[in-house]
Amino acid sequence: MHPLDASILEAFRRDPSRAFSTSELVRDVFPKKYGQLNQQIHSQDRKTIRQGYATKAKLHRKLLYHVNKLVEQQLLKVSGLRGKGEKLFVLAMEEGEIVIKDKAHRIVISKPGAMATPVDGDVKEGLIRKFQPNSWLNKQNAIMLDARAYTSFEELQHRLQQVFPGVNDTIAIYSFERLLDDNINEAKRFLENLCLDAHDYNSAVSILISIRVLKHDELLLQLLKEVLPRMPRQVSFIFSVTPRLLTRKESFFRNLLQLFAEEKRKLNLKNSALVPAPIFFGRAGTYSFTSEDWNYYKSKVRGKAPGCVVGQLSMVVDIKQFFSEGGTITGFRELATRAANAFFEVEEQRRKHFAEYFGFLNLSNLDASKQFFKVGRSYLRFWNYEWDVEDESPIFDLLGSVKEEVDKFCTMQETIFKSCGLPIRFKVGLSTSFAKFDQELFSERRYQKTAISTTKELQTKKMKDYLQIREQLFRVFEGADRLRFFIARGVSTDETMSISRYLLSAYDLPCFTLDFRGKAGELKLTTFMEDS
Amino acid sequence: MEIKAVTVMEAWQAAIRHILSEGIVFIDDDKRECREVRNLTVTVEKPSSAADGVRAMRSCRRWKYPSEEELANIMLNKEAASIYDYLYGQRIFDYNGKSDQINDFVIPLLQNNPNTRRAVVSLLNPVRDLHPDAKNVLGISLIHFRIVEKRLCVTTIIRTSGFFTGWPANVFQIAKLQEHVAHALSLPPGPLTTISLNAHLHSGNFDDIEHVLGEDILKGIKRSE
Repeated sequence: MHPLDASILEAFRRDPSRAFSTSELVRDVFPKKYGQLNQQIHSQDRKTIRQGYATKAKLHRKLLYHVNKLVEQQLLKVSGLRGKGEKLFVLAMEEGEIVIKDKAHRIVISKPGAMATPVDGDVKEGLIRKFQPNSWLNKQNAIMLDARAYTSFEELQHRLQQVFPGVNDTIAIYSFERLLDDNINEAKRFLENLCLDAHDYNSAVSILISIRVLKHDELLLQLLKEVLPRMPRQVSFIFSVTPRLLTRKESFFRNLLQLFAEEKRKLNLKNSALVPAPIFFGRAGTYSFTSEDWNYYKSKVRGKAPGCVVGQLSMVVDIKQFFSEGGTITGFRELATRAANAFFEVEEQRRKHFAEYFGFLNLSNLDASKQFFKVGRSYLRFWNYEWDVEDESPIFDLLGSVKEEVDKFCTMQETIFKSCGLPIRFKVGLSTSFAKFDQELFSERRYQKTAISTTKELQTKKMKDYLQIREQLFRVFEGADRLRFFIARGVSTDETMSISRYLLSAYDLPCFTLDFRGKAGELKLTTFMEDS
Repeated sequence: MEIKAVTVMEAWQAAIRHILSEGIVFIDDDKRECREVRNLTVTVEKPSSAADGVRAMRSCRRWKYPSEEELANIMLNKEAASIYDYLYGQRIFDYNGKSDQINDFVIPLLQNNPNTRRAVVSLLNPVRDLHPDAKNVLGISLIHFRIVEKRLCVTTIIRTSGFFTGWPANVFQIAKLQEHVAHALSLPPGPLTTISLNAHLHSGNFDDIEHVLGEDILKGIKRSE
C-alpha cells in the first residue's frame, strides 16, 4: 500500500462517518504543507498568494490520484459535491469493520451503524434534538487545553492539530496569558493558524485569559488590535475578572472595551470572584465545571494531562414547544431521564471503541489519558427556558427538580457500575442552548429587548426581576449559562465601564457578554442569541 | 455463615435473605443506610449459570446494568483503558506491567502440579490502591484456583460486595476467568465460592430487590429498624 493511501484511509479510520472534501483530505494527509500553503494564501504579498494556490492545486492533484485509486478498489465512494463542485468522499461500506493490510500497514476501520437510543421516539416527535448525532460515538463536544502544560505556542499548536479532528463543537485554551511574552509575533502566528483550523474544522474556539495573571497588558492589547479585525466570529475571548480587578486595572479595561467596541465584537467577561472555574462557549451552548470537578482538575489533572474533556454529548429540549404541545411536568421529567439514559447508552458504546476513537490524543502515558477524561460530562440543554409552564410554577423550580432526577440517575449508574468492578464516571449537566444548535428547528420567541445605553436601564424593576431569575438559573446550571447584553451604538467607554462594574458587583452572574454590534429594537430570541 | 446452592440465582436469593434477616444496620461513607453481614461465604455448584444474575439485572428498566460483553472484557482484557479507574483484567494478566498471573503462573503451575495450593492471583496492589484518600479500591482482591476431584474450583475474596447490584456481576466475571483457566487445563469448572468480607445491601434498594427477585424475597423480613 502506498503511504499516501494509508494516510487517506487513516483519516477515514479516525472519522468513519464523515464525508471528506478533497481540501479536508489534503489538510489531514499533508498537515505541514497545508499549514504552510494556508499562510501563503492569507499573506499580503500577491506573489506568495499565487505560490500558495499553485502548491494547493498540486497537492489536490496528487491526493486525488490516490483517492480515485481507493474509489476504484471500492474502499471509498463519492457521496456528493460541495461549493463549486468539490467532491465529497465517504467510506464505501455502510457499517461494520474492514481490515486493510499489506506488509507495511494494517488499518482496521470500523464504521458504527446508526445507534438506537431511548429518546429516538422523542426525536421523531420533535421534542428533543441531538447535537451532531453523526459523530456521537467518536467525538467529544468540548475539550479544554491548559496552556500551563505547554512551553511554547508551537507546542500548543501541535497538540491542537491532534485535538481538532476529535471535537465536534468547541476547544478552549485556558491560561492563554501564560504563553504571552515580549514577542507577539509567535502569538499572532498562533492565533492566525488557530483561526484557520477553527474554520476548516467548523469548530468554535474560546481563548480564556485571566486578567489577574496577565503580565503583559499592553502586549495583549497590541495583539488584539492586530488580530481582532480578521478573526472569525466563532473564535472568542473570555476574560476572567473580578470587580476589584476592574478598578485596579481600569486603564487596561478602558482600552479593552474601546477596542472591542470599535471592532463591533462581543466581549465576554467571567466573574472569577463568583466562579473560579472556566466557562466557555460552543455552538451547542455553554460549557463549565462543577466546583467539585474544578477542584479535582486543579489537584489531580493539572500537571499530568495537557487539558481535559469538558463536554461529551449534548441534547436540547425546546421547553416552550414541549409544553405548548400538551406536555406535562411529569412528562418533562421523564423525558429528561430518558435523555440521561440515552447519554449512558452512547457512553457504553464509546467505552467499547475507546482506544479506536479517542486514541488521537496520543497522550504520553495511561495516567495522563485517564485524567484527561476525568471531568467531562454530557449536557441536557434547554431552549426557550424562560417560558412559564404555570404561573405558580416558575421554570427554575422545574429545572431544579429535573436536575435532581438526572443527578440521581447518574449517581445510581456510577454506583451500580462501581459495584460491578467498572469504576466509571458518568455525569450529566444542565445548561442552556444556543440557537446554532439547530436553528431551523427551534421555536421562536419574541424578546422585548433593547440595546443598553446606561447603567440606569439595568436598574428598572423589570430588569432587576429578570436578572434575579437569571441568577437563579445560573445556580441551577452550575455556571453553564451566559447572559448577553447588546450595547447601543455610540455608548461611551465610561458608561460601558460603569455597566460592566454594575453587572460584576450587583448580581451573581458568573458570565456575561457585552455585544457591541449595536442591535436595537424588538428581537426574536433566535436573533438575540445569534452567533453565540 | 456459608450458603451453598446449585445455581447463581438460588445462591443470590438465599444470600440476600440472609443479609436482610441477619444484617446489622450501618451508614456507609456515602451516607446511605445499609445492612451488612461480615465474612459471608457463598458457593455456587454450577458456575455455568452465572449469566442468569446479570440477565435478571439487565431485564429491569429502572437502570442500565453492564452487558455480559463489557463485564467479561474488563476481566479478560489486559489492555488498560483510560475510562476505568482500574481494570481487573490488567491486574490479572499484566500486573504492574510485568506479570501475567494466569498464563505465566496459574496455568503452568496447575498443569505441572495439580495438587498445588499455591495457585493464587492477587489483584490488590498496596502501593497503588491503599491510600487513606483512595475512593475507588478494587472489590475482587484475591482469586484462588484449586483442582479438586478433577474439576477446577475457584475461591475469591471480595473486599466489599454490594450483594444486590454487584455480586451477580462479580460472580459472572470470576466464572469467565474460571472458564478460561479450566479450558487451558482441559478440566470442567467446579464450584465457585465467594468470600465477601463485607456483604451489604442498601436500604434504598429494597423495592428494586422485590422487583428483580420477586415479592416473596422480602416475606417475613423487617424492612427497617
